[in-house]
Amino acid sequence: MTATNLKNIITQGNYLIINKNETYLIHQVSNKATLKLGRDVIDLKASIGQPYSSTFKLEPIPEKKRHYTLVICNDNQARNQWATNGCGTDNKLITDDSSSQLLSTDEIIALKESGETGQNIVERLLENSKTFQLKTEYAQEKYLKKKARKYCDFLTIFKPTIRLVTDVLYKQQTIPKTIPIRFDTLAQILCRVNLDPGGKYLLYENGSQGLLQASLLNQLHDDGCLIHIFSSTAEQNALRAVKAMNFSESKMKQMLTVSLYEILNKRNELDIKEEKDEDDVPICSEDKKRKSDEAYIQVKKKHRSITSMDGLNFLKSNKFDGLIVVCREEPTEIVKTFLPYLSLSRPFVVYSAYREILVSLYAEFKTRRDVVFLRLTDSFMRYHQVLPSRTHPDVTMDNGGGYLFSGLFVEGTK
Amino acid sequence: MSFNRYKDIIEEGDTVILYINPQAMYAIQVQSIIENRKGEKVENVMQTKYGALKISSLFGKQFGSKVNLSHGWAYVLYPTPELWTQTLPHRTQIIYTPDISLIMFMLELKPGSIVVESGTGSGSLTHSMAFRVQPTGHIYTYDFHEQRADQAQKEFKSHGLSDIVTSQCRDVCQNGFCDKVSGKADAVFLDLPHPHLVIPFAIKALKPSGGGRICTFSPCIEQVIRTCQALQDHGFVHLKTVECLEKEYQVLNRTVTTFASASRPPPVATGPQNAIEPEREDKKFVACVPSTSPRGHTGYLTTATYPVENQPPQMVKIEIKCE
Repeated sequence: MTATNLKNIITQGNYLIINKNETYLIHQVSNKATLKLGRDVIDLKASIGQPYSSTFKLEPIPEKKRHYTLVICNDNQARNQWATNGCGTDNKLITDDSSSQLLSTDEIIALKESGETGQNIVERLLENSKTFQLKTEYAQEKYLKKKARKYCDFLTIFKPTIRLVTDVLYKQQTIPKTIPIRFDTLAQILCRVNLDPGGKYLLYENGSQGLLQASLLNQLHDDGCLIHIFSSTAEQNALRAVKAMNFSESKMKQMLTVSLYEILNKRNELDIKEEKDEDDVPICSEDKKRKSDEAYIQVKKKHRSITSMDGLNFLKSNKFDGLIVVCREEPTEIVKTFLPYLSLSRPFVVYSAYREILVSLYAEFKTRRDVVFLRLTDSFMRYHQVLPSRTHPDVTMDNGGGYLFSGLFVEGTK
Repeated sequence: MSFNRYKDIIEEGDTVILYINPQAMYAIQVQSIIENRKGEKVENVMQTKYGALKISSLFGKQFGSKVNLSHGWAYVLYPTPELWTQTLPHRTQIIYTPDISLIMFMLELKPGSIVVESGTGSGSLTHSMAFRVQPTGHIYTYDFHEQRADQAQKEFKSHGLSDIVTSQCRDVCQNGFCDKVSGKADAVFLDLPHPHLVIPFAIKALKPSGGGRICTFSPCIEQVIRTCQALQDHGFVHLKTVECLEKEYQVLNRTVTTFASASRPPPVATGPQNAIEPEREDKKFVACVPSTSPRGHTGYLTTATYPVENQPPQMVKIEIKCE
């Protein structure tokens, strides 16, 4: 099997995106290869060796309640479909008296626990529904969709891509603890910073679980380079998105990490070398939360002890092609500190969940002579339901895209 | 020759963006000598509203430096795809950066991606995609309008993108994509009046290993409905239709009269005692003002994934018929 083929095969130790209905989650296949999903326990062993984007049917394990194994099932047609037999024209005969379903809740739970397939459970529900036949065609479709969601026994495993990882993380973040970056905001950041795959980029990120690092690394070619400036207030699981992308070791080497503290305290090389050992020990022992995340320390440590010097030297001896600031902190000083590291005619982009912060940054930058094309934006983004004769915007919108401030660094007036 | 990679020094033949302010940006081809209407070779001088600029004075200057015009100044900027989109010569309606960013994100483009695009139009999206997939990726772009395809082709060549972009005149609704792209594409982008007719050809172009992405841009919802139906009929999954509009804000210093000034008694028209006006108490603040007439609609973006092809549904049906 060639290398490219191997990349598309589900492998132990890899991170996957697991999709069941509308739920997506990032999961690493451990040695045991089990997945806890709600109250269900799913054995993923059968998926190892299968290509990504495969769909599997959940087969109940007879003796164990709510335990399942997987059986590959890529036939689209075999997936849950139910025959309907006639429909009503409106809902004037349907009254809500909680008696339309003849099966009791206990009976339905018993059905599910008996290991009955989702297909059969929904069939039983339909047989026992007094009102289903009276519903309009559209209402029937909606009803079936709802039931299919509840009793779905299929799951699909995807190869993690930035698009999927962004969506998964967005739903899990909460302001102000972490930063939820919506996909259109991330797309805009990548465009505004004019990502050149062979370019050198400066990133100050804190709070997005590594999503920015992951998406920049993903967009860089072999000769591109990313410097991630991190702070002492880094979050837990700060590299979750980077890990989820299963980057190769050589890809990871394109990212150098440097602490903000070390840059600001312009100590010379010797100083850093001498203090290095002392530096690392207290950081690990003080912060118990970080210690719990072994992989985090490993990645961080590797970059600190091996490449932080390289990163620091690289930072001092190079001009960069773009600056991205996505953080929980007040960004003004950070942007002002790193702007001079850019080559001329290169962009910078700042994200904030709060417009006020960017407004004051904008007001300050308006008086500067070395920045042009300043823009402050947010976006109006909505999904549409597209169905024959029933097409309209989704009834709820998502307003959590945050704000972006961007501009270009140019020659200042002397 | 400056579109494929950042460079620092301006040379003959480069395209630069002359930036006076956000409303006045111009793409200029750096050529010291041009032909005038009479066919004579003359020195290239550009007229701006702040006076003339001798193009030959740009040679050797750094991108991002300030240049003097006879009555003011401007900056010469590197032609990033974003700036190019704002300044390019329009031959058609073009796709703007907010939509471009989403299209590239949802098509999951990265260095090495192979993309099929139709139509080329003015090449706004093509430039952005080329920058994103270089140096190992490729964009195959088609337009059914011969003159447009020709012009685009010339433009890609003069911008140093010929290794990354292949442009061709072809009616893909009728004839599909070229055979040489069959089974090679990671992503397909359609911006044409009848995208639903091209869906079967898109499947042929996408990699058979599955997971390929498709995105269509349509200004009208009727097109979207037909496209979604066709995508579903052909086995695409994860259909999403989204619209995204960028809202831009101006940040301005503003002043308002305070309640105290407003509640003073009205000044009496005559009389020497009113000659000295009482000092006004104003409040200064930083205002964040949305633009007054923002774009209200561009187009709907519909995206979908082509799944793994283990047992295509059509083949199953054929087997049954044979029995």
